[in-house]
Amino acid sequence: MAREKEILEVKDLKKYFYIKHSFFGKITKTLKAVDGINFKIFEGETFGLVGESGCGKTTAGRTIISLYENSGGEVYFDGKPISIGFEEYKNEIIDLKDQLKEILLQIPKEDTERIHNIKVLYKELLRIIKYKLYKAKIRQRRVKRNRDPRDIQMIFQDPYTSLNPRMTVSEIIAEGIKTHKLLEGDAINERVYYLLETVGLKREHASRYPHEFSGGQRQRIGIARALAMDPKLIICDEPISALDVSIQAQVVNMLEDLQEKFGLTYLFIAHDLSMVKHISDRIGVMYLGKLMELASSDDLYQEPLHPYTMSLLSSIPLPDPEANKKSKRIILKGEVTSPINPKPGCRFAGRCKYAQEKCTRIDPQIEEIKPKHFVACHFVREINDLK
Amino acid sequence: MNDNILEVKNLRTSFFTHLGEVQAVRGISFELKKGGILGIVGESGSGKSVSSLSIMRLVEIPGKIVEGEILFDGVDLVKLSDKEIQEYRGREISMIFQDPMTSLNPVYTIKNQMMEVILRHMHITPEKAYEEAKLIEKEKEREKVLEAIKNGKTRKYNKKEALERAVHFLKLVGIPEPETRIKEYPHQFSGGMRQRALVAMALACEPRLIICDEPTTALDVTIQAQILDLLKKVKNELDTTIIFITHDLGVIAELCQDVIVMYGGMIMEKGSVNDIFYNPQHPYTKGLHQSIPTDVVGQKKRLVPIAGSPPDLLNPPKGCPFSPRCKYAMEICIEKAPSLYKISDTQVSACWLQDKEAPDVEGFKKSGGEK
Repeated sequence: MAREKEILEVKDLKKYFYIKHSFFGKITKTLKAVDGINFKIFEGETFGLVGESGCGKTTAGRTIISLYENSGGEVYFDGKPISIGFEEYKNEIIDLKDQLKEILLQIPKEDTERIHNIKVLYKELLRIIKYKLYKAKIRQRRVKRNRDPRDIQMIFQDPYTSLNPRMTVSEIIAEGIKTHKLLEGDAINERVYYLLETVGLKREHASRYPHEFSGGQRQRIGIARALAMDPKLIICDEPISALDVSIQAQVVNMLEDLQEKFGLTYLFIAHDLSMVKHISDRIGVMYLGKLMELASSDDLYQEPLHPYTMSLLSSIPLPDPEANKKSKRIILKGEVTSPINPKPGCRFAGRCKYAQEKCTRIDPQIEEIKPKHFVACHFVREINDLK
Repeated sequence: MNDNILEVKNLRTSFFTHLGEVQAVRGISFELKKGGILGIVGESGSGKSVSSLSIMRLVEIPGKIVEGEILFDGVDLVKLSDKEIQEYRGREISMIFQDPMTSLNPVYTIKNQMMEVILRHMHITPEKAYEEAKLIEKEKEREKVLEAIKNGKTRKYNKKEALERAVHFLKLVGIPEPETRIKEYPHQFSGGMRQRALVAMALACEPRLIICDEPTTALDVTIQAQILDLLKKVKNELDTTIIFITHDLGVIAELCQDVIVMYGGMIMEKGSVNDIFYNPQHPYTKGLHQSIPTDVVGQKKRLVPIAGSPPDLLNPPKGCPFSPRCKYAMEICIEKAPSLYKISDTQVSACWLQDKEAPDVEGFKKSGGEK
């Protein structure tokens, strides 16, 4: 497989949610669901994104497909930018105002000259940020033209809520085709039948309603809907977690077949680590909005370098009683902390047994430790005895 | 057979809906030895949860236990009145549910909910009661109390003692600062903490049997590892018996000694954990193993899914419930459900392939005789 051409590039992607607006509309708390993640997806591969609930993996997927407007960073599809965020500058303005208040409190009121200087500096900084904000807003508007909704499609987690119960299967699958005026008349029906057969359903199913199908069949309808647009990239947001084990294997096999048949690229988001390992070529591990480790799936499972990945992998119970007895389990203390107004430093520091003073101060950047193996940890070399 | 704490014989539970009778559990039998961990594995709709609810007699209308016996220490729970079964629930048998948020009452504090169980069920030990009785000054009263102690009747816990006990168990399950946390409401606890609180609540009366109905399904893997570790620890400390229901084969392999595989309301295979994982004899168990990825590094094995979908329990198949999806299905499979065939001392399997007259298929052993 040729894996050289980048199809999607995510640069410093951020998604913030603002909560607790006060009476005058002031933002008091920021939930940083995705806080600066970088990765590339190559054509024809499957990129897995794993993490515990609340780590921002679903939000990342939804932001890439522009279901959420991104707060910061850029997303490139096929080399062209498709979304650019500006909300982070608003955050910067708020932070700046808070900083000014703090500084002014420390300075005695008599020192008018210093206060004046600080205020001038503040105004200058504010102007720069506002300019950046303005530029980004304009770019965002321009970039929107690059978006072709047909390029990226999505398969959702819950097959019970992601299909409109009042539409027949053919209406559900043909909705996108009609919206984008891709086909007309009988050709639409032919296309629907073809898609249904591709995902292992029958022609007769076209006129039925979603409630007449089982969970696995509904997920097939969802996949057919995504395929209807002839997409290049499909974002699979936990497509198998709501299904039974025996049905999961059916869907996973079908996704693999479709990838081969249509040359699709997948962004596969899931928390079931063994299934992600099976389907993915490369995997990114997320924790509280940050990407912790990124490597090929074999490297990641054989030799995890980040302490979080190590414990995450060791806590999967294996379907093999003897292997379970042998394996050493690293049980993490505590639980995932809240992404609301996170503390500075590494997000994992609170639960990490190797954490030192530096970890609570400085946020580690993700860097290439081994060829094509990226880790975000200050002490990764010491922990793993690398040079 | 005195070391069996629980014996279920030919249990049938159905739900009588307006569409007809949904046969959720269709005649299952099993025994549970004292001190073991029994895993029940199956997909949704296989009847694993309903059979555990039947043991607790918690099946609600329109559901009903149609037939069968549930012998808990020799007492048939099915025949007990509602009032009598109350003495078993929480005291002798307790349950941990799947969703920790919905199984705790959001308007009461953890303290309130934990103390309710303890105040309802717990009696102080005879030794302690005797000590107390000695301090009673009036002779008549003292003799009355001593008489009661001889008959095995001691007074119930008072509030102070109940609180102490609740705090003790919260500490046991690893909740930090239990004295202050106990006054909080369920929403102030995180998911993992809530599940810990539920475990504490289930343990509070030191029941002889704990039924865990998918206790870790709603949790993340790192929290799941914590809870499984905790269950192992308390099992050893308190010496109870556990029934663990899950759909995750990995969890079963990690925790259980004996396994029951259920499908379509019936037991498909039963055996020790090594039997089920290394020597499965039923096509369904084999199918389950092949549907989960077991890739070795460097090479990808393609999954072998089980075709079709689970049976509709409104019109269950006449024969073996798995026959419509089974690749070895024969004529008899569609006509008549097989009984359990004995494979070894520990393992039984319900498949016609184990019959003497069945054709030889690779990978399946013939049984010496029916069980």
